[in-house]
Amino acid sequence: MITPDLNQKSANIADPVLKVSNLAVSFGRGRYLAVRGLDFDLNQGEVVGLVGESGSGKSMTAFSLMGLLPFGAALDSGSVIFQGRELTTLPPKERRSVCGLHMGMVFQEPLTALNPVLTIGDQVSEIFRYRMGYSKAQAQKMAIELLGQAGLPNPASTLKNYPHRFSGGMRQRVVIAMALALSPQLVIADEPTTALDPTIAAQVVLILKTMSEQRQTAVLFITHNLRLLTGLTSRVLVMYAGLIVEETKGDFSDPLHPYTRGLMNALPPLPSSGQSKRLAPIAGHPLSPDERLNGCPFEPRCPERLGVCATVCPPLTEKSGYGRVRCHLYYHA
Amino acid sequence: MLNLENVSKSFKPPSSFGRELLSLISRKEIGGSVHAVRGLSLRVKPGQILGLVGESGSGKSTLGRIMCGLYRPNTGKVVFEGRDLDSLNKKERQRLSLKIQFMFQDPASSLNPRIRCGAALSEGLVIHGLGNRLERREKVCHLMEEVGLSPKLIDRYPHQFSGGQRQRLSLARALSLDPSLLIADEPASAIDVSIQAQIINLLLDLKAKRGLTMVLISHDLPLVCLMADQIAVMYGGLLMEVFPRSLLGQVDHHPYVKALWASADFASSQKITLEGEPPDPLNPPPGCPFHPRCLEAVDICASLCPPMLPLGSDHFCACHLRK
Ligand SMILES: Nc1ncnc2c1ncn2[C@@H]1O[C@H](COP(=O)(O)OP(=O)(O)OP(=O)(O)O)[C@@H](O)[C@H]1O
Ligand SMILES: Nc1ncnc2c1ncn2[C@@H]1O[C@H](COP(=O)(O)OP(=O)(O)OP(=O)(O)O)[C@@H](O)[C@H]1O
Ligand code: SF4
Ligand SMILES: [Mg+2]
Ligand SMILES: [Mg+2]
Repeated sequence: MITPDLNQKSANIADPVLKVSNLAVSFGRGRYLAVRGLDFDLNQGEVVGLVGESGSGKSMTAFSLMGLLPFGAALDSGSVIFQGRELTTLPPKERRSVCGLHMGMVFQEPLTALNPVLTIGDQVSEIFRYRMGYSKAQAQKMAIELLGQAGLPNPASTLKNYPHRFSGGMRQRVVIAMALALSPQLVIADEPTTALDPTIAAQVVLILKTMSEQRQTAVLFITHNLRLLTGLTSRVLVMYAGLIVEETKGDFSDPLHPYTRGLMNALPPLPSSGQSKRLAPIAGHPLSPDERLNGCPFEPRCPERLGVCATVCPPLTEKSGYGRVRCHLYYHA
Repeated sequence: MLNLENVSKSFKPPSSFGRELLSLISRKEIGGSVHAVRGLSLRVKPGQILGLVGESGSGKSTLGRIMCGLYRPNTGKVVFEGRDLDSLNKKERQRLSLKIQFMFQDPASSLNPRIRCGAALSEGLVIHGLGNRLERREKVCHLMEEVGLSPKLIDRYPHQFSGGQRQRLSLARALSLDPSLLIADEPASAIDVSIQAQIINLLLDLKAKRGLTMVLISHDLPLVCLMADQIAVMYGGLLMEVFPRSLLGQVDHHPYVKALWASADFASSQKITLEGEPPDPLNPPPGCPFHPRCLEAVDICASLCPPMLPLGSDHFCACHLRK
């Protein structure tokens, strides 16, 4: 049911919904570098993956796009242009209203996004009442319709329940429904299925995909499960130590960067492939956020490093037919 | 090696205060007990890896704890090397606890942050009075090398290790008493792909070198398929199917197993998306626990729980339509 949709990319390439340049986030007055400079675009209705190991800066990227950086974190540089508007310089109040109306977010742990003492119905219809000024009855009707779209059985009676009565998968569907309630231009989903089991995760991904397609909403899908993205996204951004090291195809069919290729070799093969090869782990550890970059962030672990890699960080360069890659192996060639 | 005979385990409801609070919030009576494992039989063969898979809450960890005697089952027997765990006296139990080791789901919470690596690894040896100081230290260094940690790190605290290293520490600790059976609960789920491959390779080497028998609990299907010789699939506290790895995809699997495999195989063209939710362990559905979500269910599935029947050698399935 989940089929790759590569044509999506052609829609409105001229004016992306979101254009991020040189985005950098740090903690402790620049001591810990969580995000070290990101550049990427999202087009209307496009689903793009953002993958990376724990600590690579995925969540901080998401929070900084939404203007929700946690205490202690600061935006060091960068611009976030959303529908032609620069967000980083907007006054906080204005930014909140732009984000509230046109952007949605789905967090990793759905319970934190739901208020335990309010019924699901109150929380969902609240969006329509306060953001759109609907009457109580109207908002209730919209909420029922929305939860129905999110695949919840008997939405009318579901509305009366409290979040703790729901399973993780149901809660996450409610959160997705809430994020998409106002048909936003962009939804950021931060590990929406990490806490879920395989069959439930598949349901949730499908709901997110169909609901965003109906609304032509662009989705930035953050995950560390590379396999989840197959058939869901047209392209994937691979993050390592706060940088994008590669932008590749959604199914990882032609990875170029040594890190991306290493990840593919470290992954247990799919049962259907019939292979049972020995896995090849990547030696060493990722760069920690308090280390400065001298050369390529992956250089200490890279099996293919060149002399120049230790001293010069390669730029993220376009590679026609593939995407973008940040590696000296392809820069000089 | 290890035989489970019709074991079940249920947990009492939460404390009365918590229960009252919950009932108050939800305006519903909350009571009854959680049926985590509902009567199942399973056999672990020596020198093999048994992969135990199933959805979250299906009872995998509970079953793992029953296997190593951390939980006493409400009904049924656990027979290890021919002896019923329940019939043992305290001393015999203690001796047995050397032989079966449990590696916990979350390495961070199972290591005491204030105890140095060396002390943590020799803890078991001290408790069971094995060796003198020097011998223990030598043994610990050897263990660290075996799991790929430099013995130089022996005086470090857990927080000074990376996630993958901490996972190896907890493996080394489980191995310190030379167990013959290792029960590993999600050994690689808390660490990144680039590093989890190290742990997987390590476990496979241990099986080859020491002939270690293992129960691998995981919901990562590609991982289980890579490692296990025998695969047992749980759902709602019951076993749905048990089969040798070599039969995967070669037989007409249980409907749940089919769906589970389809959902793991994201590249597969034939997606089966299951509707509905896993059963509520507080009141499991009558009949087959999977029937509310099953695409093939017939009338009888809603009323009668299918027994586990042999379909071939080492292949068992609990489904009215697979006989
Ligand atoms: N409060 C904080 N103080 C200092 N550093 C922090 C703080 N919160 C996060 N960091 C650091 O920022 C970096 C990026 O964190 P982030 O949460 O974005 O990672 P992530 O890619 O989302 O990882 P995960 O997959 O584990 O969610 C990490 O190295 C983390 O240690
Ligand atoms: N000590 C306990 N007290 C009460 N209920 C428990 C206890 N341990 C487990 N349960 C319940 O028993 C059921 C099975 O839990 P178990 O931890 O065995 O599942 P699992 O298959 O290991 O899940 P996961 O994949 O999430 O680790 C769950 O519904 C759980 O809430
Ligand atoms: S730039 Fe050099 S060190 Fe970095 S990934 Fe490429 S080859 Fe490896
Ligand atoms: Mg995160
Ligand atoms: Mg568990």
